[in-house]
Parts: sequence; structure tokens; C-alpha cells
Amino acid sequence: MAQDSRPVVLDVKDLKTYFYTRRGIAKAVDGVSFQLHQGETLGLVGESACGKSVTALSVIRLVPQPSGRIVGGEMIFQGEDLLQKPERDMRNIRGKQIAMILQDPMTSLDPVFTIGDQVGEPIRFHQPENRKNIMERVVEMLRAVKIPAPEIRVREYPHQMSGGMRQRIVAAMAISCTPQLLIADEPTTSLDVTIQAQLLKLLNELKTQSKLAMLIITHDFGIVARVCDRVAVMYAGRIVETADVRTIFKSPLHPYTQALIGSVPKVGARVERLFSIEGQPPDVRAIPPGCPFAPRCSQAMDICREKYPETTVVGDGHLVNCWLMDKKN
Amino acid sequence: MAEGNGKGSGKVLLEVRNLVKHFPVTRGLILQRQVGAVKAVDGVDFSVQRGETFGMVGESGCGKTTTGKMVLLLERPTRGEILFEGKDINTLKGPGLRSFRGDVQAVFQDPYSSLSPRMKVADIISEPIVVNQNLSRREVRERVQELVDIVGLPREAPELYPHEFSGGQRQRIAVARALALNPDLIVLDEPVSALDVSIRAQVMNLLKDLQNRFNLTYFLIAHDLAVVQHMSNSVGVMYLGKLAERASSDELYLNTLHPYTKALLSAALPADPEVSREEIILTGEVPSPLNPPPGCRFHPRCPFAFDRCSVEEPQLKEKSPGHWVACHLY
Repeated sequence: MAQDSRPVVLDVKDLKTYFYTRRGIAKAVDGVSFQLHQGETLGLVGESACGKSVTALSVIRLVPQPSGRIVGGEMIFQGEDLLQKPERDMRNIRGKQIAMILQDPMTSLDPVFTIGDQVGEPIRFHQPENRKNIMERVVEMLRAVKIPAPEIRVREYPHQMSGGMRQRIVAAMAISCTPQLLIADEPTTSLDVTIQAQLLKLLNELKTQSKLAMLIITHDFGIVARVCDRVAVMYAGRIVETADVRTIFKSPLHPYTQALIGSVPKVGARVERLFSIEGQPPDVRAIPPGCPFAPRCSQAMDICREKYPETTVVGDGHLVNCWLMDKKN
Repeated sequence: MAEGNGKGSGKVLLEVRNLVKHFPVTRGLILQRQVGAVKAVDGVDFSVQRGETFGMVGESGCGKTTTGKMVLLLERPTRGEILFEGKDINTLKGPGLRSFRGDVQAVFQDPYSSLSPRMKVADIISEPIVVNQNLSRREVRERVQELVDIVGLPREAPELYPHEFSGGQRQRIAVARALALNPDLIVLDEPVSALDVSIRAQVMNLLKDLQNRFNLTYFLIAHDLAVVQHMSNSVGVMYLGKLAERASSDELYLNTLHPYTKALLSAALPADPEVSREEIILTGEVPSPLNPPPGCRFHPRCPFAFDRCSVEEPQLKEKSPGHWVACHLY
């Protein structure tokens, strides 16, 4: 592992979250491990249905019930395993120590409550001692996420705001109780590009100001390049490669990471054809044996179809799960 | 359909002149009075050469989709002309209009809603053929099979329903339907933004291959500057119903002039953390097209705005051959 002297905020070990459906067991997350340090931003990257959102929901124990279940693993947060906690304790952790920003600000705000009520809710719940000056706290939070005229905005409703502003309000809610860990699930996907840039800048500022550990879930390598320190690439429920952000872009080792980076058009780079990965990701209800990427991989060998590769440590904090690593050594 | 080499023949296929679309805003139930207008498109000029791609990029609400709809004759313009092969499409009637409908086709953003879930793929692809051409059932079936092969769908695809396909494959069905009548021009409205990253490249490569093979002309509408640049020969940048800048794809990147284009470029996030560039993060949001700001529409957000910008509206001027910009800085 990388020699990171900062304390570990979250240590996920071999997390498994399955969905029991009528059409079989969907292994949405199948043995995911990662560490997150204080002040660090980890990007969890992958295509839809690779398990990145379910990983995030597992961390705050909000996996959709009753079909979804965390069937194995450990999640050590501040020295304690979140999986062993009773639901009552989890309620005190959610919003206070671990906060979350969801993808769509249109649906994550309640249309019938004012902004002040909603941003104030976590404060009211977690810090009852601050109830008296709750509105002052809310205004302060809105100011921190750069909402113009916060004194007026606290009395308004979500429909009176634009998409970018709503996402800022969601961010204000998330940081209102100064959490140690912030999970952002595709925070900018529904926003326009110039508004996206504003929000990413805000997230970067929050990180440096409050030493927040962040887990950002995204499919966009552009966002990764902007805000992440380290990247974990997911495919079919597993992390296939982890490295710091420079290494991922400079020398990705897993064929999937290479293909994913190569398939994105770059501004200014003139290429006639994009690198494309043939086929599509496997159905999580029927993941093929061996490496799930093997059917789409141009360098697949016989062993890839038989056994899932062990994790190979390549360099400082650079982990790869691919049989090609064995061949090279 | 002639097999072309994809190089522009230098002939203009589509020309748009001073195109305007205002949607009236009315008040009152019976006695409706017009109280304003949403200026969705407010004076846009561009032309597309045969066999080339013109890309239009902008944020939501900038009028790019409305422009596409007018080119498809799904909306009538308030003012201005759209010339297709030299003829104004809004004056077309009878057989002329019929052939235009076949010559211009569309691929939309969301292949989940643009394909009827109750129709088999064979029926979806053959519908334009059945409506417009007098072919026997066998000929239709053969043509459908040919189209399915062209877009790289499995051979058994015609007998299946859209829900049996993934997003990328559905978009291939939409492309096959668009190709059914051998069109000259295809309007691509956000053709890849609903797709997964690894599938986007497949569809973009397919569109490029088809363009080379059949000498197609594309009018591409997208919000992602990287996608537009990759696909297009020339690019127009829209802001609040007007073109801010228009140039060839390479020129636009190498000699970016308009501050809005610079901001878009900067926001088209460098996909490499080592490449740092001048970072421009705009403040504020796109104003309402109901009441656009006076002068230059971009001035309230522009980091370089000066007095003149809030008073006088800049005109689109040719700064260097083929590079047009609407900005008082130049």
C-alpha cells in the first residue's frame, strides 16, 4: 500500500452486496476493498451497473430492501465495523459523520419544505443544542456553498432554484454537521458543463478547508482528473485497478482501464477512430467464471476464463487484478 | 446511394440564414394576449458541406435542439430561411416535401424512448420504407437485413423487440432506421450522451464509418465539446439562441477567441491531470431566454466584459478566413 501517513477514515475489506431477485442472485458488489484517508478523495469509476453506486449505498447501509443484502466483508469507520452497528447507531452516523450527495438534485430535495427547513434538518437531528440559532447556521452553510443572498433563499422552495443551485443546497446539507466522510454519487451528471465546473471547484475547496475524506462515484474520467487523488476502477462488481490519479492516466495496466481511458475523445487531440471496447458489460446475475472482462478483452488468455486473478501490487499503491501481470513478471 | 470517400465535395448541402424561432408566451384563458416570447433561436447562420459534419455545441436551453427541429421541419421558423440543396424547405409542398422527408433523417438522444416498445425491430426499421417506397415484402425484408448488417446488429435482430437490446444496440437500431431511405442529411441530436462510456466510442466510430461509406452529411447537436470536436469538421458554439463562435474544428481549438468557448473548453475537463491549462470557471448561470440581457448576451458572466458589452450587441464577424466570432474583444 501507499505510504500515506494520514489516518485511515474508512477501510472497506472484501465487501459483498448481493441482490436476491426472482431471476437469480445479482452480485452487484463482489469483494470490494479500498481504503480512504483523511483529506483524500477517492474516485470510484466504472460504467453503469458495475456496482459503484451499490458500494456507496453499502457504506451508509442504505442498500435497497428487501432484495439487497450485504452478505460479507468489513467496513471499518473510525475503528468500528459499520456492519456490526445496529440501525439506531447508523442513524446517528448518517448525515453527521458520513454524508451523501446524490446524483439528481431535482429528486433529492423535498418540494414542500423550504430550503431552510431541509438544510436545517440534519442540524436539528444531530446537534439539538444548536436548535436556537438554526437559521443562522443554515445561512452560514448556504454562504459556504456560495449561494447568493442566502438570507432570502432560506425561505424559498426548491422549485425556485436552478439545477446548479439545488446541487449546492444538497452539498450544504451534506456538510452541515461537518462530516468526516462525504460520498458523492455522480454529483455533476445532471448539470450543464459550466455549472459542473463550478461545483467541482466547490468540492475541491470543501476538501482543502475541512480535511474531508471524499468518495466520488463517477463514470467520467474528466471529473476524476479534476478532483480525485486516487482512483479505483470497477468492473462487474469488483475493483480491477487502483492507483493514484497520475499513474492511472499515465500508465494504466488493466486492459479495461486502458480501454476506458482510450475510448473518451479528448479536446484538441485529432484521432480518426476512437479505441472501442466491443460487446457490453456482463449481466450481474450471470457473471462468467474467471475474469468478468475476459470476453471483451483483446489480450485474454485461457487462464482468464477459468480463475479470477489475484491482486498484484505493481508499485506504490498501484494494485491490479489481471493475469497479464503474472506473465510480465 | 453512392459510396463516397467521406471528403467534402465543397458543395453546400444545408444553409441556414438568419434563423429565428420565438415561442409566444400568452396569458389569459379565452382572450389570450401575448405577453412575451421565449427567444429560443434568435438569428443563426451556418452552412454544412455535403459529406461533412457540422457540430452545434451549447448548454441546455441554448436553442440547439430547436434549431435541429427546424432543420427536420418539425418546427416552423418565426423568421429566416433553411435551404436544403438550394431550396427553402419551408416552401416545399407535395412531392418536393415528400422527398425532403426521406432525404433528411434523425437520430435522437434516448434510444429508450425513441423506439416503440410494441414494435419488432424489423417493423421499426422498415416503417419508413413501407411508407415511402413501393417495395414487395421480400424486398423490404432484404433491405432490413442489409441495414441490420450495416449497423452491426446481430442477424436475428429483426425478430426481436427493443427491450431485448442494450442502450448501444438500441442506438444502432435508431441509426438503421435513419439510414433506411438513403438520406443525404442526418440530424444527430445528442446521439451518445445517454450511453455508457465504452459504448459511446462504438457508436461514434459507427457513425464515422457510415459517413465515409455513404457520404452522409451530419448535423450534430451535443453539449459535450470533446464529442463535437471529435466528430465534426466545423463547429458552432451556441449561447442563448445565438452563435457565439463558428470555425473549423481544429481552428476552434487552436485559436479559441470567444470567452464562452474558452470556458467551455476549460470545462471540457482535461482528461489528464498533468495537462493544466488556463482555467476559466464562469460565475452565475445561463439567463432566461424569455428576457435575455441587453447588449452581448454573455456579458453578465463574461470575465472580460467592458462597458460596450452591456450596451451594444456584437455581430458575428469573420476574424480570419472561416473563423467567425461575435465578441467586442475582437
